[in-house]
Amino acid sequence: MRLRTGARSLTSLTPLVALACALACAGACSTVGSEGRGDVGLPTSGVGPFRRLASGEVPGIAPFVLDGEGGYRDPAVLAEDPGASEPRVWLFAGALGAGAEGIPKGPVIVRTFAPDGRSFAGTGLGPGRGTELALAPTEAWEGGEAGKLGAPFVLRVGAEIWMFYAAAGGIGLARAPGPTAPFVKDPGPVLDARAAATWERGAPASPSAYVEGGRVHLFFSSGGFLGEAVAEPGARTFSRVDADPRTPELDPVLGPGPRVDPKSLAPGEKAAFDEAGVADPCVSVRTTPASAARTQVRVLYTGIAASGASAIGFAARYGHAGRLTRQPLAIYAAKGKERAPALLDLGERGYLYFTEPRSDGREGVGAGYAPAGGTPGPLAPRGE
Amino acid sequence: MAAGAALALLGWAAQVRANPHDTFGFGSRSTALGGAVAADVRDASANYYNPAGLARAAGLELSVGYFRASHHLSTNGVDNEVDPVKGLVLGVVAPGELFGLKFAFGLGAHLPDDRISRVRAFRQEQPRWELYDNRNQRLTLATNLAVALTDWLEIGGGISFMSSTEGRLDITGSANIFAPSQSQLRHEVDADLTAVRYPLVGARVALSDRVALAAVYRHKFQLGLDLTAHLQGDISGLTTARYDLATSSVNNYLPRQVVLGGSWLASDRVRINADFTWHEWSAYVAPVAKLDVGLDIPPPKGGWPASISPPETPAPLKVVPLRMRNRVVPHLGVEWRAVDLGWLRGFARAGYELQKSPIEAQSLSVSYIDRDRHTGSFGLGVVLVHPGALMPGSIAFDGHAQLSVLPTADTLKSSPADLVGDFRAGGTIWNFGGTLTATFDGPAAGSARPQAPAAPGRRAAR
Repeated sequence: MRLRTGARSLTSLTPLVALACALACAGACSTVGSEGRGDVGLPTSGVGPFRRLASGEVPGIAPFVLDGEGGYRDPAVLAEDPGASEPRVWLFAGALGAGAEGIPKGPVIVRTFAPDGRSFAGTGLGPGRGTELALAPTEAWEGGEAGKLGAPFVLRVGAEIWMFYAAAGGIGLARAPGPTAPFVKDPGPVLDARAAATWERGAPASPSAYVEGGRVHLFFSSGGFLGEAVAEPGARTFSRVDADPRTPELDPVLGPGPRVDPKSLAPGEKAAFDEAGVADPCVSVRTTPASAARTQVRVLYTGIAASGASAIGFAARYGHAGRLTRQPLAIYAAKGKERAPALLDLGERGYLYFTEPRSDGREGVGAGYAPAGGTPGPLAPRGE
Repeated sequence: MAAGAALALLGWAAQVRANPHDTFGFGSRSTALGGAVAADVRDASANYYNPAGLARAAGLELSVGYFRASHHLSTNGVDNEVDPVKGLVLGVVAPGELFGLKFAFGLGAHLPDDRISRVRAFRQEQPRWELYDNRNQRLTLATNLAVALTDWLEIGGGISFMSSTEGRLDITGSANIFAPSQSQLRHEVDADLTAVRYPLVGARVALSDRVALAAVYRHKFQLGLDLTAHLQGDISGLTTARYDLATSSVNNYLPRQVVLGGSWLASDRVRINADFTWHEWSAYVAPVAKLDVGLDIPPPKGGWPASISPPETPAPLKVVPLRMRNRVVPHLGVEWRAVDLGWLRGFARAGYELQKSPIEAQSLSVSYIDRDRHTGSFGLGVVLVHPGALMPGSIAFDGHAQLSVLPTADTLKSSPADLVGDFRAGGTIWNFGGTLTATFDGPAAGSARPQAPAAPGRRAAR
């Protein structure tokens, strides 16, 4: 056996070997790994999953962004500038007035503002202290002090702000030229229990709406289902629509999740988070970013389990008609008591607002953030 | 007709690959030739492309190089900031004679300058550039032996190395949930890097002075990440909790590959190469962690305080299968010996690959993003023959530039309630690098012209 690599070559290797060793060492010295990226700006439908805001990310007790003596609940949000990426937002919520601070006694709707999506004026205080009265029951059909006025939903329609709200006799509509201006109510409910479907129980509640051209689509909850009604351009009232015209009944757009026999579940497997009922729709519409540019109607809702626990779910459809398809996983579930979602979609990130009971039994408005691995910006300085 | 046949061939062609060499090439000459070198490799890159080529080495050869591949991959117009792949490329070829047969030992390595290896386990619903995000972030090392059985047949083979990870984490003690700073916990971490080896074999046949064929087989391999965690302790005197977690996932699956290649010396100055690589992507293992969780937190006497919600055992993960198709990738390369002054030779090279995505349309709840990949490459090489008394062989420097284009296309989700939704994805990958090679005791490697006989009695074609 003879290697052709002889001594003559080896003597001449020295400079090159030294160079190679130096380069190898230089590379090896820098092999302390970094965390790595590759997960920036990933595509999302803009509806989470959300994580619970933590201490330091809210001015008070996490995850609450609006709580106090009024028992704030059923939030609705309206971005100050719909095209802005900054979370300057108006929040409307139901509350219980005490007949002081300019707020009548009984159920009311208040409004407040935060420049950062979290530091809402009036948090920790009762209605009228930092929050302003937006709507109070004045009509007989609303039920007065003993009624259920609340569950606002606000949206921009042309130059106006429309507020749908629930009351004893159904769903009402009030309009204002701006988010801080006084709201003027339409006479009578725009949707009530007349011509209700067989799955409805009592007056429709928890309104949420979007505008398609001149048509207004109104989603509502009743009897553990979500229904849809439409008002044609110029019409003052809404008519229920059938989500599945192939059947003779008036079908809801979303019903409870599938029920399964608990015995059929694998160890650790959970039943559907919404198998007992769905409620509190919050609708938003977007055009998907693919070249197909499909219209996606997104609905967040409260899912109620057989145990009574609740979580926030997501359902959607392509186009302006038909049933909603539910996402099997809850987009927010923390304490099992969250309900009544509202969405602030800022594109790659977003806030989810919801109602959650505090430890003292009162309800407050909490918030979550997406992407779950991200962090919201710093809190706005007090007084802004 | 010819155009139709070419289109059919391209349509049949395939794939985006797995380790840094599969995706970005090994050595600047081979990269510039589009990786079409199975029948035309004799430098250190033979450790990856075809170990049989090592037997063609003219003398002891040392090479060192560097490359950087920068991803510009985006979804919905937003750059996802996929990490670059960069690092040193090292190679050694040591030829000799054994029982009258020419043989050679080769070693090739890629040493990343960011990390040795990275293993990441995402939620399966999280979108990721599956073939670029993580799989190329690793060190590779290959050792091979080759022998020339006759003057027209060389064979070679060897093994490549990687490491898998096994780890254990134990946390025991007492946790005070009301005053976390007073918790008394003991941590114990035990992690092992276990070597994974996979074989590589190849053969090369010289049909004539100007034509050679080659066949290569690369075996599959996979990197595993197995972690177990055990937490047990007292919680604020309320109860004793036990949490056992076992997770197992596969990262960096490399499918089996079979390469058929040919090389044709069309003229004294021009060489044309073509390789076709088959990848068994259908055996791909989804990089999803399989979790086995055991949680036991008995309630304290009198039940839980109202402010405490005890955690529940997580639901078992239902893994959505990742379906992939086997692919064949064509590689084409052309080398032109543009300058030949005896003591100085200059080369220009160009190559092309079409790697059709093996990943099926991601219309369900997972989003393994990928696109067809068109890769064009270009390179220049300079060889100094007998540059001085200290270098009885030659010194070569080769540089390459490679551009991969992943045309932007839509991914449409069948469910409107998909949390990712429809998206557009595409982008480019730039790869630049250079390789310095010193060859001792023999003529310069990398020439497009027929080589001088390496040993008495050998045909000039070799």
